[in-house]
Amino acid sequence: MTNSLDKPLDAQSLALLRAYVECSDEVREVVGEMVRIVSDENTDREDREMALLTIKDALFPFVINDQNGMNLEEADAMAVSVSEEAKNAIADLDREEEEFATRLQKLMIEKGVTQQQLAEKLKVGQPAISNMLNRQCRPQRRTIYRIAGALGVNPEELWPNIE
Amino acid sequence: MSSTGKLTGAYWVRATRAALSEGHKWFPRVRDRMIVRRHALKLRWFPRGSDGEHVQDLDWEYIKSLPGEQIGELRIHDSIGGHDNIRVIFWVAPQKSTDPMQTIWILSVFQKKRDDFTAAQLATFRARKKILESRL
Repeated sequence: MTNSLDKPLDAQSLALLRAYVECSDEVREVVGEMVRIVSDENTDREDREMALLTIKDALFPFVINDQNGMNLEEADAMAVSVSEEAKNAIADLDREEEEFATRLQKLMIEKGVTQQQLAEKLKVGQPAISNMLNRQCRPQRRTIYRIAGALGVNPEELWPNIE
Repeated sequence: MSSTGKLTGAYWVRATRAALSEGHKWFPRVRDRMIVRRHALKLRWFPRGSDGEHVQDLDWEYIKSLPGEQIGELRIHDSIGGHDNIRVIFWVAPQKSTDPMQTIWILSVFQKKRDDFTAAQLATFRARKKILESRL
């Protein structure tokens, strides 16, 4: 009867072992804890996948432009440089937010409501309104409903097809 | 300061590879990932002290089961890619003396299916934070 341990270690296994040996004690402890989670038969599939991803991060640092991790602000620019789909998606999202900001501005003018007044109605700081008008914040659906309520308009006037 | 040189918020927001991989898993469509990313980027205006609310739908709180760890959950209520109850788990890293701004790290992205986090999830969040700390 053959045993899987009889087979020589492949390049991938050796790379894993090397990475583990080169880790700090602290990171090895983290790997140990994640291995226990993965090995526990009571761990569900999603939690097991999360633990496996963590082991990968522990053993193989993720470095971009000499820095750990990815700057989320630069992620869109990176996606656009490799994908036409990403470019179109960004253009779509930017257009939606720009149109929302334009509609919000127009409705505020029509209703004679300043940023400060709208902020007070919504119980937020004025910078929150400014951020939306300057397209620094993509509003969630419930926020659009709240703004519509504060302005006394139908939410679809702010964001068509909101449903 | 953004890559365009425009000042955008008080924090840099960076993501771990694990979080990016989870983003791809839960949101295979490019557009959906970008929407989640835009909501996560609201953490640039993470409130500190009595600065007030700069982003009105930044719905977040520190995870009570991880006291003192500075690990929080950002709640996205919209349905994106067919998933609701989306959570972005983040860590507010201490500011290094050489950095002009603090960094918030995205540790995980997923659909929360239970009221409480599982023990495995909490251990994983803590583990990802420890890995980052070891590399600061």
